Amino acid sequence: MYKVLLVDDEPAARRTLRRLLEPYGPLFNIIGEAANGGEAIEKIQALHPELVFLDIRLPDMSGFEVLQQLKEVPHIIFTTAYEEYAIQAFETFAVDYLLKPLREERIAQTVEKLQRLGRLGNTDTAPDLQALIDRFNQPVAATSLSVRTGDRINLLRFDQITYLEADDKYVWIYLVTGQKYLSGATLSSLVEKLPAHFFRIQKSYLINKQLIREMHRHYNGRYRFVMNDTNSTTLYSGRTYQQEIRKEFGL
Amino acid sequence: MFLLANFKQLFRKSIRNEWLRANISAWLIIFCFIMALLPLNGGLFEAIGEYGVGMALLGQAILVTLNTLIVFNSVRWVVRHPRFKQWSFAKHQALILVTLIVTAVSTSLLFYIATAERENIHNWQSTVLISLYFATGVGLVHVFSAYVSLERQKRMDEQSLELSRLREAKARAELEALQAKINPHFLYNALGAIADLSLTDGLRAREMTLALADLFRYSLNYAGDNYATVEEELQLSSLYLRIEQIRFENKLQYEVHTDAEAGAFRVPRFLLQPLLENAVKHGLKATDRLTSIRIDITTLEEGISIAVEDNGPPFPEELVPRYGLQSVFDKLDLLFPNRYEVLFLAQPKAVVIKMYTPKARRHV
Repeated sequence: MYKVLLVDDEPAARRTLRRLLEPYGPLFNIIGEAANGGEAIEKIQALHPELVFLDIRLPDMSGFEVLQQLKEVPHIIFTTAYEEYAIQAFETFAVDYLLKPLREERIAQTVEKLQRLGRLGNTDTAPDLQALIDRFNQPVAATSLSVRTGDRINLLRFDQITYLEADDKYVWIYLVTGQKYLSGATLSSLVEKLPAHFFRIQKSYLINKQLIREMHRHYNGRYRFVMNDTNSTTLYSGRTYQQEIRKEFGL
Repeated sequence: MFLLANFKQLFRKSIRNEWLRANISAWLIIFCFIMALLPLNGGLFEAIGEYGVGMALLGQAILVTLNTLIVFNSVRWVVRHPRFKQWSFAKHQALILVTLIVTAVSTSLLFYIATAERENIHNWQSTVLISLYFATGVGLVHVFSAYVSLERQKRMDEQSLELSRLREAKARAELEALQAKINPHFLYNALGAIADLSLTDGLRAREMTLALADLFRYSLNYAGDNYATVEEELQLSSLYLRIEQIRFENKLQYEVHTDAEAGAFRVPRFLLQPLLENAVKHGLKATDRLTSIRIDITTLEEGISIAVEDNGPPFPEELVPRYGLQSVFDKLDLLFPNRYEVLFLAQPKAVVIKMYTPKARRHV
């Protein structure tokens, strides 16, 4: 007999679980339900369930993050529509991993498995939960830079940015269209957020390599860049950047 | 190389007048040329014999100056004149060649008449001949290099044309790929909900199945058409939101506000759905309250504004667009290049898309 908590943001999914577990009557004692991560943590800590049916994708956090915040982790059966996390989830202390939509035959297998395992012992906390969470929350490759002006956020797409110019305390970001945006961040902090094809040609200039129309040898080891924007902006590299530029452009 | 570059820079800075700069360069080049051709120039040796080296060189310098002023500038004028530029390549080059020869020969003749004794028939002929050779040679080199650069330009144009054709084909393919994608997990979840409702609430299960069918019909039937009217997009939106509303049972409410004119406006197909999917997701993050979503569509002087508002937690400082938002940007880039704006407002929290189209083109 297991004390069971059901965690899922969809009422229908919780209802389905209840209905599917019902035939096994005395084996599962459903002591509560939670509709989000916060509620799940609260109820697990208050009710000490032995078995939790846990949805991986919850509105406020992932199921993995719920586990991370627990001192004592109960046995977990993940339920989700996402197949891609199955293997990773099994590497934690998951007893089972159920794909939605849930069905009777599959629950029967879970029950069998539970009975084979017998009395559930204590679980060790999974060592690599953080890696799993990072992987789950992994941001998709960024394609734009967000710049806040007042209460607006402007998303400037990388392929639209021709160059950035550091000016005293601010950085001007120039777009292909000729528009410019002011960012309060420093040029060096922006470098980290921009992809590698943004290249420094001078202490205060960062240009988009993919938007260079022409590149000319200038004098004193400097180069002249004509950018592929509406104004055909011309920029000059700094003398000290000669080596980097030659390397970058294979000269 | 360094010295040359430095000199060029200095030259450019000290002589601001472009005409003067060009003339000085031409003078230097012609002077060098004539000096190099000295052995051929019989007249010069005679001149040296007659007047001494200094006078002979002065004479040559005057000849070079005359050549620069007359020949170089007339050819320059012909090359740069916009009317001649409109001529065909061959005609334009022929004109340049003729101008060059006529001016060069007449300049030498002029110079000869002014300086030399008239009875020396041999010298008169050689002067004309030399300037004729000289002018023809320079002219042919010019024609040849112009031809080479024309060919190169042609090839580059062809390449860029090819590139733009490829780009267009790629864009079309991309758009098709963008449209076809309705999040498969949405389908799984919706079907899961239907499976449950079919036992507990048959009417709701039926409603959701029908809404899902309409949603997919919309996405399949119009896969080839990149544009949809606002009205169509709104129908799709209410189907989508209704499905989510049934899924989350009373945790979600939504309202749509649109002005009468907006309905017929053409926008990228499936523009709204990803925004709504995000709004629902973000709205549900605030677990302590009812998620409410509001769509506001207003026509602008020169376009349309679509706002999707939700009451979830504020946008993060660092906004990284995921698939949904990215697809919105991609569609706008392909169909409204440089004629759209996407704003993220904090209060009330909303994503606003503004598309600019002249009134006349709205219904096209």
